[in-house]
Amino acid sequence: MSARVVIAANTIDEVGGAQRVAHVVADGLARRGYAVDLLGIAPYLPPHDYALDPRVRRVTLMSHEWPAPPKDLGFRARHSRATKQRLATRSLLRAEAVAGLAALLADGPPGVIVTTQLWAMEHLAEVPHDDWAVVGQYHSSFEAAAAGRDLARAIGLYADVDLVTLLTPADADAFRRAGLNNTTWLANPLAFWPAEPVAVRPGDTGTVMFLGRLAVEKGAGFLLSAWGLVAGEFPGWTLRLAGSGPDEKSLRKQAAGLPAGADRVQFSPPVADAEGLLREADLFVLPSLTEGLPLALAEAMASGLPCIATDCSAGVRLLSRDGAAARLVPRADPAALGEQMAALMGSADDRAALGRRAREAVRPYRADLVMDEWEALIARVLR
Amino acid sequence: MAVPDVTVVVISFNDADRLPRAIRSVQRQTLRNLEIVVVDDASTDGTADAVAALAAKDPRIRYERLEQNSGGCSAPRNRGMDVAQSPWVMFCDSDDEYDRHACKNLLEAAERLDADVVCGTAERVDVATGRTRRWRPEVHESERVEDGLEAFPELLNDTITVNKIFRRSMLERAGLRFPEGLLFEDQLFTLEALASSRRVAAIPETVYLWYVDRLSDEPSITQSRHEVRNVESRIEINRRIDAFLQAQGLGALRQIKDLKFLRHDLYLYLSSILEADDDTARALMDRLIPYVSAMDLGPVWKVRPGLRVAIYHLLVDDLPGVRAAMAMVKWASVVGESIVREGDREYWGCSHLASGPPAGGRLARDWLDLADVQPLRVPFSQRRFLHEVASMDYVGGVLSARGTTVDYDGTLDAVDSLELRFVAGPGRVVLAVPAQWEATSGAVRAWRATGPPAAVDPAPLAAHERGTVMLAMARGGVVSALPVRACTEQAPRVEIDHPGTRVTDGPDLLAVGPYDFGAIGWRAAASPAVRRSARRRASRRSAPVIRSLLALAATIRADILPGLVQRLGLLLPARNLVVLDGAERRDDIRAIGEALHASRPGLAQAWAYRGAVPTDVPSYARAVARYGLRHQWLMVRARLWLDDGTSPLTVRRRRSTRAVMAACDVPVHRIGLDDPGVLVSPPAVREVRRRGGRTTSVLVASDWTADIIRPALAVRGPAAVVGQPRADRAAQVLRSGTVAIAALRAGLDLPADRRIVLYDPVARASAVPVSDFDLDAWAGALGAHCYLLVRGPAGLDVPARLAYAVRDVRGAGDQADWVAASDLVISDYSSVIGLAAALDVPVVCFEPDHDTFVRRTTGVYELQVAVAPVVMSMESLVDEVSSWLDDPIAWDALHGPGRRSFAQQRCAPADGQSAARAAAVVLDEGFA
Repeated sequence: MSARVVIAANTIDEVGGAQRVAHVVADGLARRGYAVDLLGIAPYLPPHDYALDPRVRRVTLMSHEWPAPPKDLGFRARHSRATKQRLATRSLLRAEAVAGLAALLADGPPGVIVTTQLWAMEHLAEVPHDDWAVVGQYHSSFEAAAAGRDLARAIGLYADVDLVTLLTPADADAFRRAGLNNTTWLANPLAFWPAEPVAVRPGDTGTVMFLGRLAVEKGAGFLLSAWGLVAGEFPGWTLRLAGSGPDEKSLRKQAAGLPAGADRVQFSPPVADAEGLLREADLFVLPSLTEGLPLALAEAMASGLPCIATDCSAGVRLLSRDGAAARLVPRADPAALGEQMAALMGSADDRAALGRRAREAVRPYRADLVMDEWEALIARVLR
Repeated sequence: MAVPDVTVVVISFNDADRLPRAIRSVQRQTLRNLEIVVVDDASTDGTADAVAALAAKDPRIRYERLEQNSGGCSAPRNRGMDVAQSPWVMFCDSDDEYDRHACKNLLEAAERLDADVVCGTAERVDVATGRTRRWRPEVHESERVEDGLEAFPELLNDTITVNKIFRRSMLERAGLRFPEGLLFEDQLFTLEALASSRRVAAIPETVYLWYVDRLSDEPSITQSRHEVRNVESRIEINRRIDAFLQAQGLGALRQIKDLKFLRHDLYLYLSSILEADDDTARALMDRLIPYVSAMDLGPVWKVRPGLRVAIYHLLVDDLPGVRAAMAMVKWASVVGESIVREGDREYWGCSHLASGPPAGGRLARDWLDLADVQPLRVPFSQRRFLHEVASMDYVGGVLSARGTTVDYDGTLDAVDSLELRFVAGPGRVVLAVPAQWEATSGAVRAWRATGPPAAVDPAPLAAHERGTVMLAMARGGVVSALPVRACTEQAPRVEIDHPGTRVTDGPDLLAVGPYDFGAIGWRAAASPAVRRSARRRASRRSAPVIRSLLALAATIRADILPGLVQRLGLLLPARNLVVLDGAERRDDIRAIGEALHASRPGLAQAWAYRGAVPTDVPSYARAVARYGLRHQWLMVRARLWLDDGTSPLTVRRRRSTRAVMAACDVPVHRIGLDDPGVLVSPPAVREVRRRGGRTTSVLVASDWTADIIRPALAVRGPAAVVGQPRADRAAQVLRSGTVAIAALRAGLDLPADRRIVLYDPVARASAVPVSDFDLDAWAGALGAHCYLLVRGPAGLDVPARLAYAVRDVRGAGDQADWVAASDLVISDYSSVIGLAAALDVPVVCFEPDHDTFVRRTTGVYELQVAVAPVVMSMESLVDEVSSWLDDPIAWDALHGPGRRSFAQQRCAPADGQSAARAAAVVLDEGFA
C-alpha cells in the first residue's frame, strides 16, 4: 500500500539543511511509489533549484514573501501606518496559506502529513485534519529548544500528533521527559554518498574547510581565532570559509587582523555542489555554537574527511560516535580548537585514520537506508 | 475491519456524566485499529443512552450490560475479557482517561520487547487543582524489560490494572480472572498476570490519567467509616496474594510485597486512624492487628521511623500512641511525644520504652529508636514542635485561641515570648496576637492567645493571598515559627477582619480553615459588602465608554508616561543622588551603599527593589520599586548609577551621569560574551553589549578578574580594583576571633558541637533541574559530625526528617555570613569559591556533571592554580570530607597553599576595606 504523503516545510526554496532533507525525503518516497506533495508555506526568493523526482508535486502556499514581524520600537512606531500595513499583510498571507492547505488536503484521499518545522504545524493546526496521520519533526537539539522559545511551542503543537521525530535517541528521550508522549527518532538522510572517499594528501600543504552560514551561531569567528593561533606553524595550509551571511563583513575584518595566516584565509560564496567542494578539503571544521544533526558534518564524514566539531548537540555526539569518529572540542574555545587542528594538520596518518572512521560512522545515514526507516514510520502512524 | 490490535475494556456504573470523556479518550487514540468494549454494571442512569450515542458514530464501540449490579470492578472487567477479540487487552475506568498515545505506546513496546505485560506510567490528577503527579515514578524512570517478575520485582509496587497492556493468550493460558466480590481486585489480578508472564516490561511514557478527588481522598470521618469495610477486603486480598506467592514458589517476592503493604496500604489506614473518631479508629485497629501481627516484620526496618513507631503502637494496641506517631508521618515530621536520649541514641519516649513488650522478635526500644531522626540534635529554630489548636474565636475584634504544644525536649520553659502569627510567605507576617503558656501536664503545655490582631506588615491583602497560622516562640534571639495544626474535622473555621490597609474592592478578611499536612491556614476573602461594591463597580466599568477610557489610561501609563518622565527629568539639572540597583540580591551593592553613607552621610541614595520592599532598608536610603516611574525619574536625575548588571536598559543616561557596575565576583564559569549560552542568543548578546557600552567604570575584585570581566561584559570604561565588598563584614568577624565567630553562629542558630559545612553550587541553566547531591547518603555518613547548610540548587529537595543534619538556607541571609560561619564550603563552578578563598575557608568542589558543564554547556575559566580538590561522585565527596574531618590541619597543609595563592593572586584576600575603596571610587567618579 502506498499512501499519500504531504511534506510541509516553512519554505522549500531556500538553501539550507532542512530544505535539503525535505527534498531528499520527498524524492525518495516518490521513487518508492508514494504520492508526494512537497509543500512550502512561504516562497523564498530567489528559489533554489533542487534535484527532484518529477512525480513530486511542489506547492508554495503564500503568494508573497513572509514579512518579518514589526520590531517593538516604541509607542509611535507601534502605531505607525507601516506597522499596521505589515500586520495586515501578515494576516492576509496567513489566511491564504491556511486556505491553500485546506484545499490541498481535500484534493485527494487522506494519508500522512509530515511537518518539518513548527511554523508549518502552526498552519496545519488551523485546518481540519482529523483523518490524517501527522508526523511532526524538529530539527534542532533539545538544548537549543530549551534555550529558546521552541520547547514550549513544540510541546504545545506536537502533544497530539501521531509521532514526533527528533534527530537522536538522546533528543527523543529529553523531549519525552519534558512532556511529549509520542517521541521517536529518525536521522536525516545524506543527500549524497561519494563512491570514493577523498584521498588524503600527504605533505605540508592542505585546506581547512568551513561550510555554513556566516552567522554567529555557526561559530566561524572562533575558527578564525583558532586559525590565528596555529597558522604560523603550518605555512602550507589555507583556511577556506564557504558561505555567506550577516557576519561576513565582520569576519573578513577579523581575518585581516589575525596575528598569523591572515593572507591564507579565503572566503567563497555558498555552493550547490557540496560534494565537489569537500573534495578540495583536507580537514573539515564545524565550530558551531548550536546544531541539530548537522548535515554539513555528516557529508564531510561521508566523504572520508577528518573532522573537528564542537560538542554542541546530541546530534554531533551521535555522528561522531562520542568523539571516536570526529574530534570534539568545547564550544567557543579557540585554544582547544586550535590544539586539535594543529594535531591533525601535523599528521597525515591521523587524518587518514580519522577520515576512515568518519565514513564508516555515517554509513547508516545513507539515503536508501534512511528511506527504509521512513517507510516503516509511515506504516507505524497509519496503524 | 480486520482483527483489531487492542481491546479496551471500559467499565462503568452510574457514571453517565464522566463515561463519555473516558470513551472519547479511547476513540481518539493514535492507534486507530482497536475495539472499545463498554461494560455497564447494570447502571440505572443514562449510561446506555450515552454509550449508544457514541456507538452510533463509531463502529469500534460495543456495549455490554451485566444483568445485575456486581458492586465492584471485577465482574465487568471479566465480562470485557470474555468478549474481547484482539490479542491484547487494556482496562479503563469510567472516571479516568487515557493519554492520547497510550494504546500505541503500550502495544508497540509489547511487540518490540516481546513482553506479555507492559506497564506504562499513570498520572494522578488532582481534580480540585489540576496538578498532576506521576504514580510510582521509580518504576518508570526508563524503558526496562526483564525475563519474568522475579527479575523485575519493583513492578510489585505498581499493581493497578489500568496503566497496563496484557497479552490475552497469557491470561487465558493461566486462567486469570478478577476476583469477584472483593475490592482491590486489581492488586491480585495484576500480580497473578505479572507472575504468569514470560517477559514483563515498563515504559516511561504516561498512558493513564487517574483523576483523584483530593477532598474525598484525604481521610475524613465519613471516608474512615467506609474504610472499615474496605480494610477487610484489603486484608483478604493480601491473604490471597500471600497464598498465591506461596503456591507459585515465589516466596522471595513476599518481602517486597510486604514492604509495599506496610508503606502504602497500612500507611493509609494508620493515616485514617489519625483523623477518625475513636470508634472508627478502634474498628480499624481490630481488623489490622491480626494480619500485621502474623506478618514477617523484617521489612518494617525499611519504613520511615515515624511509621515504624506507629506500627509498634498498633501491635501493642495503643490508639493514642498510633495517633501521636502518625502525626510525625503525616504532618511534616512534627514530634508529638517527649524524646529521651540514652547514650548517643534518641528514643520515642512513650510509656512502652521502659516496659513495652517485644514485637516481631525485636525489643520495644529497637522499634522506638529514632537514630534516623534525632530530634534532640536539631537546632531550636528548626525543631519540629507539634502545636495543636483546640479552639479559635473572633468576637468583637478580639481573637482568642487555645491550644497545646508538645515540649518534646523539655526546654520550652526558656522561651522568652510567644505569639500567634498569620504568615504569608517568607518575611510577611500579616497579623499577630500575643500568647502565653498556661497549664502543663507532662510534656504537653497549654497556651492561649488573646487580643485584637495587630497588623505587623500592614500592606493590603492581595486577591487569593494565602498562608498559614503559626505559633512563634522566641528564645535568646532565635525564633521558632511552626504551623498550628488540627485534624481536618476539628480545624477551626473563623473569619478575621484585616486591620492593615485595604485597596478598594480588595479582600478585607482572613478566612481560617484546614490547610495541607494538618496545618491551619488562611486565605484572603472579601466580606459581602465588599463583594457587592466590587460587583457594582465592575458593572460600571464594563460600560463601553468607561472601558475605552480605562484602556487609554493604561496605554498612557505604559507607553507615554515613561518617555515623558524621562524627557522631563533630563531637562532639569542633575541631582547629588546615587541610584543603587540590586541591593536586595547581592550584598556587594548593599555594602557599598553603606560605605557611601559612612563616608558622605549627606549624599542622597535611592535603592531599587524588585517586588516587595524588605523591612531592613536603612533610613538614609529611599526605597523605590524597580522599573517604576519613580525609579526612572530618579535615574534620569541622578549623578551616578551603581548596579550589579541589572538596572533597566530602557532609561536614558544623561551624558554627565556616571554608570558604575559592581562586578566584584571572582568568575569561575564563563560569563557574558564568553558564555556559549549567551552567544547563541542574539538578544542576550545585544543586552550585554548595551550594558557594557554604557558602563563608565567597573568595580572588580582583582587585576586578574578585570582582564576577564572587561571583555566578557564588553565594558569600555576603566576597571577599579576594590576586592569583594560583601566579604568585608564577614572578614571583620573572622578577624575578631572565636568569640565573634561563635556569636555569628549563635545568631544563625547553628549547633556548636559539630562542624558547619555549606553547600553552595552554581545555578544551572537546565530545563530539567537535577541534583546529584544525595542528602541521605550525606546524613548517614557525616550527620554525626557535620551540620550541612544547603544554599542551592533549586531542584534539591531537603526533607524535614533530616533536620538534625541538614538545613535549607536557600534564599535566606547573606552569602558571606554563611561562608564565614562555615568550616568548609562545598561548591563547583560558583564564584563562592573566590569568596571562600578570600576569607580563607576551605573548599571542596563537587562536580558530578564536570564533563557536561566544562566541555558542553557553559565552560570554566582556566584558574591555573589547584584551588580545591575536585570530586565527581557522592562517594568520593564523603571520602574527601571525612579526610578533612579526620585531620583538618593535615588536609589544609595539602590544599591550603593552592587556595591561598589563588586568593593572593586572583581575588585579593578580604581585608574588610573593599566597600570603603569602592565608595571612594564612586565618590571620585561622580562627586569629586
